[in-house]
Amino acid sequence: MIEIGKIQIMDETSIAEARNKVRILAQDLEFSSVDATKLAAITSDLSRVVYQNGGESSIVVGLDRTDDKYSLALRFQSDKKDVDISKAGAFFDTVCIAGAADGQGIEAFKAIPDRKFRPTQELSNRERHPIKDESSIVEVRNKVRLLARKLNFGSVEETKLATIASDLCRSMYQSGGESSIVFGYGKRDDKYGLLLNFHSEGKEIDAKRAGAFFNDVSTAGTKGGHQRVQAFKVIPEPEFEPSEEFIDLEKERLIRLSTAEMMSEVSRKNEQILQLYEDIKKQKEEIENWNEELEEKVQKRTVELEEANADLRETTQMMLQAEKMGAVGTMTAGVAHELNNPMMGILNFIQFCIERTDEEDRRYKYLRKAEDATKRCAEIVKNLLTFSHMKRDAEEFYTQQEINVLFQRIRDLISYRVSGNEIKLDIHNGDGVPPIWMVENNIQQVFLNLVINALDAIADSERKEIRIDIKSDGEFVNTSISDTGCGIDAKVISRIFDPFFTTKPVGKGTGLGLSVSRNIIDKHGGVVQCESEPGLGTTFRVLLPIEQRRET
Amino acid sequence: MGNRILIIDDEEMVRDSFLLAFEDTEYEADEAESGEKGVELLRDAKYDLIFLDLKMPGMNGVETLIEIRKLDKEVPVYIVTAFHEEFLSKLNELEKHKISFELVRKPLGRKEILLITESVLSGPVTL
Repeated sequence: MIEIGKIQIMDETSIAEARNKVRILAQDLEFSSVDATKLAAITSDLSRVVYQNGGESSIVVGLDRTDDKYSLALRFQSDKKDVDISKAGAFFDTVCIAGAADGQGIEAFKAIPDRKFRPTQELSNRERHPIKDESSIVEVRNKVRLLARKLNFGSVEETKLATIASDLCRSMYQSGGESSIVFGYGKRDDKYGLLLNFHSEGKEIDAKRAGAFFNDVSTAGTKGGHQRVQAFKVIPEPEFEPSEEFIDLEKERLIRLSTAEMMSEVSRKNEQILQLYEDIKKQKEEIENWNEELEEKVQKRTVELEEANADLRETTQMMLQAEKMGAVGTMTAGVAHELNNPMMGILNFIQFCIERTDEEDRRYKYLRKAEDATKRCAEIVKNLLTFSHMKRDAEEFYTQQEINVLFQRIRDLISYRVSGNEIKLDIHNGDGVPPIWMVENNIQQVFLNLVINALDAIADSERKEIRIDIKSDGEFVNTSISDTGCGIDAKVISRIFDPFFTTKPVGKGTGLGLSVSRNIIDKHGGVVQCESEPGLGTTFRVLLPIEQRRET
Repeated sequence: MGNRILIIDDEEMVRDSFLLAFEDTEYEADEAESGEKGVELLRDAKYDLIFLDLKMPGMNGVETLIEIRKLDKEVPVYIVTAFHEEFLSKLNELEKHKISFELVRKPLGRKEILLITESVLSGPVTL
């Protein structure tokens, strides 16, 4: 056994030292990285076993020739106890007991892999050599021989390669036409080999001359045209032979790896581990912070989403309402128009009959009732048309008028209902209330509507009072109509402006009055509000802008 | 001789309404079921008052009124309408071009018809 290094096993550090030294030697001996790692791992395992036995223990690392091949040899030795061979496992080629006299030990051997060819820049030169004369053939012969030597072919094979190359070149040359050869190494099926590429422009190359010596010979080309022959010979993998220099170099290398270096290595490793620990700690903190932030964000987003959702629901509701109103408007307008002409006929026919019927006649009374009913129909149709017209304002004529004037007219219009019914109607017009721009008929219709509603509300009340207050309120004229009537149930107050909503008995109201009123006020840029206390009374407040003005 | 009134409306019920209202009165009423017919009548005779429908097949009320005004600039024309939006902007235009007319809202009852007629032809009256 050629000893390269010896390590005394005294502590964990020396075990680590042994481990590293074995790994380095294994790598230098061209073991694969997997095998080098396995060798290092088994070394530290066995070293620990030896160390735990107590007493003097050591490991010797070296080379040994067994079965005509060199192996990596490891000798574990303890002066106290037997070393458990089984720990070496099946990984080694040979494991045997050693040194029985002064203690117990085992020796383990692992065959060193054959030298592998490694491509180098120097060898990669693939120059084309034209064959022009006898001297160029000699040159090719020499160069092929030199390359074969560099590629570890033995001297016999080297000569054969050179001879075949020169023979083929000569035969190409003698056939006439231009010819050349390129040589170098190449790879086929994971194996490196020497490649000879013959090329002739003229005649067929006699590939038989290459013979069975090559691992692979391929020909290509056409008869009488370009011809190509490629010959491939696998580069041999020679067995490992430890040279004097190799052993000296390895000894020096393993010694250099002193305990001090091992220690610094260990402390460096420790630092790395500490750093890693710090990093992990930091990352953990970051993740925790991030988690907290995320939770906050999620909460915030949830609130935002809920709000957005509520908004959306409200908008959808409003859109549905608007759409409903639009559809109702279009439909009612169409129906109302169609009703107008026949209604005019009916009304006039009835009135014609009334003219020609004696009042004593029983038919007279019913004709009058028919006339009233038709008039009521006409009124409903008119309301429906007003309602559907609210969206369009082409036909409206804006003029300036005082709201008080409208109420004086309304007072005259409803006087028949006020007088003799113990109803108190007060109209208070504030100082300096300016006239406002309005479609007079529409606004009058709104206020008449509200006053009639108030009259209906107080019909059964003990106190029958209606108070109208008109006053300036910033940019608006504020008109309030208060009654001491029955009031509006809180459950329905939100629906009073909806079209066709009515609490009046069938035939008494169309359910369009307030809806139409609100549309008119909207169109004037105003606002209508309602406050009510059931049993005490209701106040409608109408705010109309002073400056709102429309072109006619 | 009594005053002559022309009713132009494609709806028979409406024309009948006017004719019945004027029955047994001093007024002489003629009817036309289209704008074209109305204009034709106007070429042959002079009328003191015209009731005109707005929405009619063929010539509509606005077009008919323009034709009427070519023949007679003075005769009072009452456009009887339920306020059809599609004609309202045109009515505004007529006003700009100084083509005079009055608007009354459908449906009209017997008393309103007579009231309008009397106030136009004999000066203001009260019911």
